[in-house]
Amino acid sequence: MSQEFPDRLVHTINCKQGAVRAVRFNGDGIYCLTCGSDKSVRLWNPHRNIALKTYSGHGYEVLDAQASCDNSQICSGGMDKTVVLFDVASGKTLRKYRGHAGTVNCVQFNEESTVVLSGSIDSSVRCWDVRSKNMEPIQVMDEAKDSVTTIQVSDHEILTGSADGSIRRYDLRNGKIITDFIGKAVTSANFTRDGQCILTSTLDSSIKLMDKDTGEMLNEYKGHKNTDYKIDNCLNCKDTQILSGSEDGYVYIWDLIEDGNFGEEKNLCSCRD
Amino acid sequence: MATYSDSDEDDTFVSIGTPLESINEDEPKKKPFSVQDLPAKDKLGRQRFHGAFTGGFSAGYFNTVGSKEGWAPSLFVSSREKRSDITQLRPEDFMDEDDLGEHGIAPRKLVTADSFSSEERKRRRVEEATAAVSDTIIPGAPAIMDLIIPEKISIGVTLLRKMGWKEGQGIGPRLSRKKLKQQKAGMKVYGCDLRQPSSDDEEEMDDEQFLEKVTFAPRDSIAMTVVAKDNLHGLGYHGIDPRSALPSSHINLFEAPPVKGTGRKGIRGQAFGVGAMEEDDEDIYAVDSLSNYDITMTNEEENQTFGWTAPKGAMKGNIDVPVGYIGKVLQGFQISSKPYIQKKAFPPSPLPAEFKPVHAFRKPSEYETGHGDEEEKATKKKDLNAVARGIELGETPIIGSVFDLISKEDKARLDTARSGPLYTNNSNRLVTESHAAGQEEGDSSKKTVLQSSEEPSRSNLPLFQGHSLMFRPFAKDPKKQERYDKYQTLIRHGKRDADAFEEIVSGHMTEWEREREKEEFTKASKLYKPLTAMMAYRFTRGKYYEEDDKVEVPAEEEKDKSDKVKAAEMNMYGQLTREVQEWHPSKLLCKRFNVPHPYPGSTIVGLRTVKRDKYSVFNFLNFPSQEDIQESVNSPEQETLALPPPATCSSDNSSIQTPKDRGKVPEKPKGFKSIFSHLTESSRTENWSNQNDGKEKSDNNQSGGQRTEGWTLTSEAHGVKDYSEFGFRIENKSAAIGISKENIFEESEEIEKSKSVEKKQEGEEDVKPPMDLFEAIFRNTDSEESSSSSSDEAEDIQKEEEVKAELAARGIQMDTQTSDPSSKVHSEIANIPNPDRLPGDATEIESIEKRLSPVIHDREMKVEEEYGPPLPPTNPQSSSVSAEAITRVHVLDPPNFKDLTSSHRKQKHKHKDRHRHKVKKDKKEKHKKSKHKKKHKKKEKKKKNKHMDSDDEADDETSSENSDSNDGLSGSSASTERELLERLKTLQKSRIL
Repeated sequence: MSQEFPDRLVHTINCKQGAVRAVRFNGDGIYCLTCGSDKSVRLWNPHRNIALKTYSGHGYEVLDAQASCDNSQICSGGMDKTVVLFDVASGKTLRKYRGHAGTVNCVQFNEESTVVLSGSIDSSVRCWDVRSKNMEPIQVMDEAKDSVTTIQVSDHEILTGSADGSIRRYDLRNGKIITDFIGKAVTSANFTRDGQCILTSTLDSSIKLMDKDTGEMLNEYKGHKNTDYKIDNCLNCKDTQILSGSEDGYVYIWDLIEDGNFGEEKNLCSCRD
Repeated sequence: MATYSDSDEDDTFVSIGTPLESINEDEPKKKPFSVQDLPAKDKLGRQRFHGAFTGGFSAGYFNTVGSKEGWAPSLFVSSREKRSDITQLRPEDFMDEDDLGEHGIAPRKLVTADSFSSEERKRRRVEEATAAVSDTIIPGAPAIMDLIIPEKISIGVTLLRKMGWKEGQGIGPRLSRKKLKQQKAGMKVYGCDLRQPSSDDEEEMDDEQFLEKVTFAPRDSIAMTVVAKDNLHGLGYHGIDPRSALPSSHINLFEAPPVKGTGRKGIRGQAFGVGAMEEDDEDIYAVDSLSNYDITMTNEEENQTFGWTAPKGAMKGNIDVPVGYIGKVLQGFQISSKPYIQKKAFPPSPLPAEFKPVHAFRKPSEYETGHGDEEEKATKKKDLNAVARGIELGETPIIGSVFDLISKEDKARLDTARSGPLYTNNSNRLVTESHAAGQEEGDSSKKTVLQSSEEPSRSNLPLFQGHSLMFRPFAKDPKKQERYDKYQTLIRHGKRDADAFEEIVSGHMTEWEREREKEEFTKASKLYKPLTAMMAYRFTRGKYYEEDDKVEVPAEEEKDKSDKVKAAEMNMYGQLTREVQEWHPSKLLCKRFNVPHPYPGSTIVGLRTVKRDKYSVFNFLNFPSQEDIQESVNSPEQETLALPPPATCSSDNSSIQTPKDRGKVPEKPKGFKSIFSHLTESSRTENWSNQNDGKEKSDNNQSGGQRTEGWTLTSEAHGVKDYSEFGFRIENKSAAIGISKENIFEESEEIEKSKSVEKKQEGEEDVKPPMDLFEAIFRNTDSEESSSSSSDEAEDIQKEEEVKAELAARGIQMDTQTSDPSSKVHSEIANIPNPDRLPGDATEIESIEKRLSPVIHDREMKVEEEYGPPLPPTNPQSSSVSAEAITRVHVLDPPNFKDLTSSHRKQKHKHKDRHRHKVKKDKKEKHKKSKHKKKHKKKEKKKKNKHMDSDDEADDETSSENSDSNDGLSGSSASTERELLERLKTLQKSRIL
């Protein structure tokens, strides 16, 4: 099977932010955000290798960030238990949501960037309304029994992965929680681009492709190492390959269908621990 | 003005005056004028300023050179002739009236003429001076010029001088000396002057005589200058004189300030006013002098007031000392005339010899153990509450709460209302019913037994135990609580959990119970440990006081974890690992996600929750089935259901199936699942094998047909959607007991045998109450007698039992053939499900039972009624009957044989299932099996329906049982008491035979 996969190291950027906790592209992939352990979020143009702006406002390490769909805002969460909303242009802190009892592991905008969802080590997911001035969460979803490690949002679903070994899908349209027990602490959960499957990484060094509707496991991908850290996984743009970081410093690439991994390369730009 | 309106409507009104303008709300409000709205205009109405400030101002005609009529060039006039006339042109010639006006560039106004200006005068003076000095030796040196100032005398002065006035004199006619003097004195004499001339006057009289002709000019009066008041100060006010305020030169503190004239006149100038309430302000600018202070250090003997301002009289020292008084009279004081009454003073009580004036703090451990000294006890006494004090005084602390003041009957009623009719009320009713059945003597003894067994555990105890200061998780069950307390103290004394539990555990508990209680205790002791001080301050007190000790718990319980874990380990993702719960997103969230709200009317956000016992250990122990039960316990509608009228109890099942009950049905399948899931894989298999073993063993006694029958019943109890909860509970228990495995089972077998031997020795049965349960359970699950509750039947049985007892006493013969099954069933029921009575201690699991209780309403309720709480742990008669029945099971009634084929088939299935189960301990298999079972049930039901003569049973799960038991009997489930009696008689007869 000859498929194209990234095999060339384009740039290596030294972010000078201490440990880089997360790197996130914006919606159209032109810019990327790095979350540093120096309490800052930095906006880059990775294609031209330049730092555009630094957003400071966090009181401790920043663990996750995301740009809004219109690139006007950045939300980020960190170990200072807050979720901060930055204005991209001015760099000002628009909102600072306090409410989580512990480190905020992950933040996500919804599709229209009207709500920020944050998952925390306090085993809750909180929904913050960006539109209103209300600083209280719209809803708190505390069904998880352990730290919420990952959140994904689709148009009507909120997918959370928790360290209690379950992924929970909150279906807003049907008013249901669908809890799938995976077994081991989930570090990353993603929808496939067709929205039919869920890709989950667990701390037993395995990535599982779960059917969204039935909860059955479609495929399992192994070979990488992930036992201690929160390492992200993702699919490529065509849903043909699965990529994941690994604790040995490589990025592993699997073919979606054949589970034998055929790509293995050095991590590009960040350590996502 | 008054207007009388013509219209009819306004006839009665008289309007006076001009009406106010009606306020038009719609009209835009007039803006207040601002400065920019008021432009400066000239008299022609033209705006003077155009620019932002004075950037442009109008010139000409509207900034043109023309006029209103347009621009007309001035006519040319030759100035040839008038050339001489034309003088220099002045700027004014080019100005218009605007320029000359007030705001123009050359405003015209009245000004002092130049001749009067100071410059002009100066110039003139210089002229004069030069003229005067012109012929001096020193020309051009105006050195002296400045010194010479021409005298300037006003015209008035010159005129006065000419009239003979001299400076220093007053103006007016000259006066005689006398008159002058009077004027000088400033006295005015009104009327006749009676004053005697003073000595001075007399002296001068001599002068006057020869100075008679001399007149004097009047005294010069100082011209009063009237100053126009051009300020806003009050009259007479003048500002502070800076010269006096600010010392211009060095302030000499050592110099006494010059004595100023005493007395104030008029208003003094003070820059900073005195408040209205104050007398006067201090002279803050007064220069203080050190001479005002006493700087000498002398012994002021003479003044002993020491700063105290004594009354003036006293200061002078006129103290009148009484005659007999010895001593010094304090200056400024007088000796009182009244005698001084001394108050009585008591000496303080002497301190104890061992008293130490230092307070030593005791260690906290001393408080707890209570080995402190007397002082500590004294402090402790203060902490005691009323109840504890009462106890110390030897009172019986009855009044613990308001409820204790209620009379006993009321309390009983309350109890029943609270906990449902399962308990006391139930037993009472049972007894009364049995009375109604026509029993006279035998019952009474039973009744006492029933009540006596019931009472001590519940009603005698005060509802509130005042002496319990610590947290009591098992307060509902006093004995258990007692044991828990003991356990706690042991733990506190450093015992290990297991040891502590071994000590407190009572002998009459089964192993299962023991295990369970141990777990409860350990968990409770962990959970309800008082927070250490370090932790405690991290938490704040709950904002809202939660009544009833309830917590909100998700309504839908999650699946048992072990199941999921197993499934996940085997990569069997799917239904086993999946769970779907109802979840209510918040409205705003839906709005933000552009999704219609899935539950438009719901007020809930998040998961559905129910209130549960906060301190229930079962919230934390993983007993899903129990929780399910609790859930239904706590749901409000159950409370109403918990009190079914007795009439419905006696009537057939269909009538009992209330709509509410049906509404509850959807929750049950879940409970069903959880029953299975709460057992671990291993225990389940064991249980299975146990059951199978038991079955095999029971095969000895029982015919295959019956056995299978019983089996189907139990399976049905599981599989049927609206399965009997009672049946499931038994299943549950048996499952739990299954953990304790074969030895118990064997024990139960032995006991069974022994029972058959000791038919008539009723007393001995009481010794081993717990075994009855096992017996019942195992027979229930294994043998043909189903535990499922056919209420009618059971009720019948209850009566039957009593009747039997009586009949036995009378020695009436009975027919065994017909009565066998029913009696058997009865014994079963009587032994097993007695829900208040788990093996061992009657009160042991009461708390659990309480929680469980309301679940078993309706049908279950009836079951309760039959073998309800008041039954003694072992009913000797029933057990004997059961034993007998078991032995005679094989002698069965024909209808059971009819079933044989189907049951056989079923048994095969079962065997297969079992086989599979043993081979693969797989979840999926189980699923299949359960499905299988269901199918079977359906089949069976169909068959049964065919067989049944009377199909009036409404309940699916009970129907099967009913059919079994009734097949051999009269056939109608709703058998009357008469029929019952008949049956019993026959039974008795057969037994005797």
